[in-house]
Amino acid sequence: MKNLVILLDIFWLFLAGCEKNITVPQPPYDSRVSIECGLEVGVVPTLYLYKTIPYFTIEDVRHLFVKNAIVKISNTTSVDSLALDSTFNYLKCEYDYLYKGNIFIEADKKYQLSILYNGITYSASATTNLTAVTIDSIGYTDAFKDIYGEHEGVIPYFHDVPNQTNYYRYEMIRTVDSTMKYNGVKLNSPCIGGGSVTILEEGRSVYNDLNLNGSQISLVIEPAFSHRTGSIGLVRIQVIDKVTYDFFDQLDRQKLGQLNPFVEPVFLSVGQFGNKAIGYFGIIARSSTVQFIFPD
Amino acid sequence: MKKFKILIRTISLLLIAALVTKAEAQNITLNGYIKDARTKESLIGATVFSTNTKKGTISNEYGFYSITLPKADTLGLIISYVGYQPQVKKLTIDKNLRLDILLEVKTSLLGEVVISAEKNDNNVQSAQMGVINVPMRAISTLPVLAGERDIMKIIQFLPGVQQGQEGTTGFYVRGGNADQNLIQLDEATIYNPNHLFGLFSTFNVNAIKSMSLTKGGFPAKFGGRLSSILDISMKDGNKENYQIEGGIGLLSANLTVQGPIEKGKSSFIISGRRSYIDLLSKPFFKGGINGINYFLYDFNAKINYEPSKNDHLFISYFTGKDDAIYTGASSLNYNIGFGNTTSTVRWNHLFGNKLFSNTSLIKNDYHLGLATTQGNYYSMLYTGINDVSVKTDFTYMPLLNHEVKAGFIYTYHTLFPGVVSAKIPKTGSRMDINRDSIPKKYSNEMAFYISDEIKMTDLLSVNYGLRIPVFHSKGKTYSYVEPRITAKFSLNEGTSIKASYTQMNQFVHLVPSSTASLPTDIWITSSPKVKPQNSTQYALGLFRNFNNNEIETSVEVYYKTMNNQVLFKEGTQISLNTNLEDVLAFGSGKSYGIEFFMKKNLGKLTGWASYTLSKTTEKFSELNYGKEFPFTYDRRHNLSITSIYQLSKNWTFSADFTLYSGIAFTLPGGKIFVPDDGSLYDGIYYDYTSRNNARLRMYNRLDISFSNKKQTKIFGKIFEREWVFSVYNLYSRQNPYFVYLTTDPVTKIPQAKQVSLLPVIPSVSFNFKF
Repeated sequence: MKNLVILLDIFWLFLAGCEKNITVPQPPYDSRVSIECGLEVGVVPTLYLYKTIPYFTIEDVRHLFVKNAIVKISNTTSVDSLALDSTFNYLKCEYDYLYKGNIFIEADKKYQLSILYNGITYSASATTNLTAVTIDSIGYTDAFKDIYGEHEGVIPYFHDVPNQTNYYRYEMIRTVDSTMKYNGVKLNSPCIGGGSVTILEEGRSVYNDLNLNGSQISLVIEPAFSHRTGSIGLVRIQVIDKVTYDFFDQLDRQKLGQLNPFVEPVFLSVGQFGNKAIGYFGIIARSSTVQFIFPD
Repeated sequence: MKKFKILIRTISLLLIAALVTKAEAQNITLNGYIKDARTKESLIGATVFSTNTKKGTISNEYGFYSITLPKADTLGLIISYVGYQPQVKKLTIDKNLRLDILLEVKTSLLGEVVISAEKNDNNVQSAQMGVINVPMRAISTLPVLAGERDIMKIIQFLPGVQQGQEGTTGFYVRGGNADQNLIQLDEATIYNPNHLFGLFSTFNVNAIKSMSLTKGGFPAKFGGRLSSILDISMKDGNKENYQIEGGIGLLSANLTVQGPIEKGKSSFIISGRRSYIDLLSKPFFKGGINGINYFLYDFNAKINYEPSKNDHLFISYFTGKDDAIYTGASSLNYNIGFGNTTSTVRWNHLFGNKLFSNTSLIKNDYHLGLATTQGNYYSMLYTGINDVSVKTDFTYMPLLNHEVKAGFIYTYHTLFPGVVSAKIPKTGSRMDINRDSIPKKYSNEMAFYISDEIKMTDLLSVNYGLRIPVFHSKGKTYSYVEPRITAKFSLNEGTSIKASYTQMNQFVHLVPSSTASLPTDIWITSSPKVKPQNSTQYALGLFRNFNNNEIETSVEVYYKTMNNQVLFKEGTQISLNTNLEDVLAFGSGKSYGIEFFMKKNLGKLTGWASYTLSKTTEKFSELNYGKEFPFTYDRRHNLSITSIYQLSKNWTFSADFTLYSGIAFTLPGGKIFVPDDGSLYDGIYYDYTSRNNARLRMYNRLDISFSNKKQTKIFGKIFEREWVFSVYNLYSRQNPYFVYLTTDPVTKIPQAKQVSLLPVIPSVSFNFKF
């Protein structure tokens, strides 16, 4: 009898399926640019400009940064030419490139962005009229379930600015070292060594104040980096404008679609720059920092 | 003036009555049932041909016919049917006659498999187009997976019909989605007609009498779906003798018992099938075999009773269930359980000799529960559907060149879908769907129809009709007028041209997922937010037979537009609280193509070949930047060849080959880097340029089988046994099931991985009948 069952097993094993790597033709693709720039009052402007590449192409991200563009941010009274600059990223142990300006951004002013690259001009405008919020308190939970799974969460509480549509994003300034993990993977940067480095951690999602006009809002944010009891972080809430919100919201939804096979793919929609580029030129207003100490 | 109008109306009515009476006085009506002489099983679509008028009629789905002929000294009739000995009648009568016909099965001296009878030219002469009557004998002989004979697999070899992906349910007709096919078993709707991951159907061939597929030129009697009607009738049961048949294969065992309750008057048929691997393996493999465990059964039962010559009562019952656990490629695991249960009570009644009626009461239940894991994410889904229907159909045959049909159907739908999809929690405890807490959605659907088939001249026949469907749900009512018309013009005895125009509306929808490789589809009904789907189809065909109908050929072209098609919006992730109607996108589709078909009916070699060249696109304002994109099942080329060769009296060889273009899926065009500043995302995003911009590899497969059939006598009874040796996917082609993208962890190179399901599968099965 067992032999008969084994013979039938062989038949059933046929249904186990098999998997193999295949070559898929690269769909036709015209490279675009990716532009990220958020203006903050009292801060000099910074802008990130990358090329996009065909899906099956392998390229070091550092080589994707566009270094020879002419970038200007202007208002009615001044023109700021942003110059190529870099900052050292201790986590990646390499330089991150950016364009950086010289003139501090002023409140209640309309700014124009102009980027000239490869004979194409990319332009957009934004007005610095956002009001920052004040964080009331910060809580914590060690188990929270949402569409991203089950995770711990830092919970900032703050009041929504009433009588207008508002959009928010979370960030935390904190110190990390080689004993910690980033997104579940141990930090392994030779540039940290036995020391520690200050990083800016941002929430993966953006939020709006739908149905919460003027009420207290709480967000549950999964930390990207691991921590120890007593680890200290400085929490801020960004108030962002609609174009910034729309851009990061679609990235968030698209990433879910990449990871979750049951979610429909998200096409990045035409934004401020038309078909020629994706990205945003928006406004950020940061709250004051509030200290948070990770509990046990 | 009013009185004058009344007078004119009255005179007109009297004149018509007089004319009808005069016509009646000059004509004779013959009517009755056409049945198999041995089993008394009714024969559907048998031809009754008048040698006097050179015109004929065919028996309806209950075997009833009525033919009105001019009086003559002698009336000559030829009654014929596929695979049966024709009968010739010479009648000397001067009044209406009830004439029941019993036909004997035709057996050729060479033991040839007869797919169709010699003089069967219904494909040319009938005004109906887009209808294929699937030969049951071909179903019994063609090879399929693991020796399991399957009607759903066979229809996928027909022109204009496409298979879904291996391992998924559904078939696709002329560019329509899987939900646009109405599948009926004894008039009860079957929402999911598949077993074993869609590899074969829930229909036990031993219990099935006939099957026809209509894919265009829809008669007014049918509605509620845009693309096709698959009408399946169960056998009634042998009214003369008890009969047992059964079989055992690698997957399942089946048994059918039928016989008389009261000889000549009533009979029963019971047919069941069950897989057995789960029972055998349980003592040895507690967790299933290599992570796969499977259980299926289906059960058919039917009783019929003729209380009088003019009445016939049928009670049918069907239930089928699947439970499967599948641990396949590293990317995919799932646990699925689904089932259909239907019950139908039908009453045929003859009013006089020209008016036939059928009244049915139908109940059906369908449920699907699916829990699946792919990568680090899971999805759970439950769909429940309960329908209660009542319908009545009348067929009136006043004259030989007229057949009027009219009827009404009402259905009360109850649907309860629930879906959740999320990342697998670290604790492993996932959200579950409590079926009892899923809100139920109720709706009412009804339709009235009337149609007439007129033989206008010897060359021209027209079938025209009107169907009026009405749907009501959540305070919203939708009603439409659906014109239907088909026309046939005979060029000569063996050639005709046909054309058709139909409008259809559909009120139940299956929302498909574009990404998941599993049946994560959800059934919903129309509502204030979800408009009914509708379609308009034009078709034109040339039909030509050769060698005295030994070879049938046809070429059909069609053009179909579809509106209010339903897909999920981009980025839709459903939770238990999601209002499904808020996450739907609506658009339109169009499909056009040309279908070639050739069938050989007689001789040692029989079979058919079909080739379809088609294109189907969709357009949704909220998807793909509002631009047109290919339908997922837009397969440009679709070729099928089936053949049966009678090697000798006992040995039969059969083979089928299928080849079709790969289905469409979406590949990103580019990659975008966005600095992540320490977020949980890696900063790499996809730049999708268009939806369904890539294709799976071409699918092709060859199946063969050898069968050895022998009859012997045991205790004076004829015992027939058959061994079937078959090979599915003879050259073990790794046909694509689905493709997913991943990144090599070492080289970081993006990779596409193809998952295939079924390699070469040999099998042996044993069947018997006595």
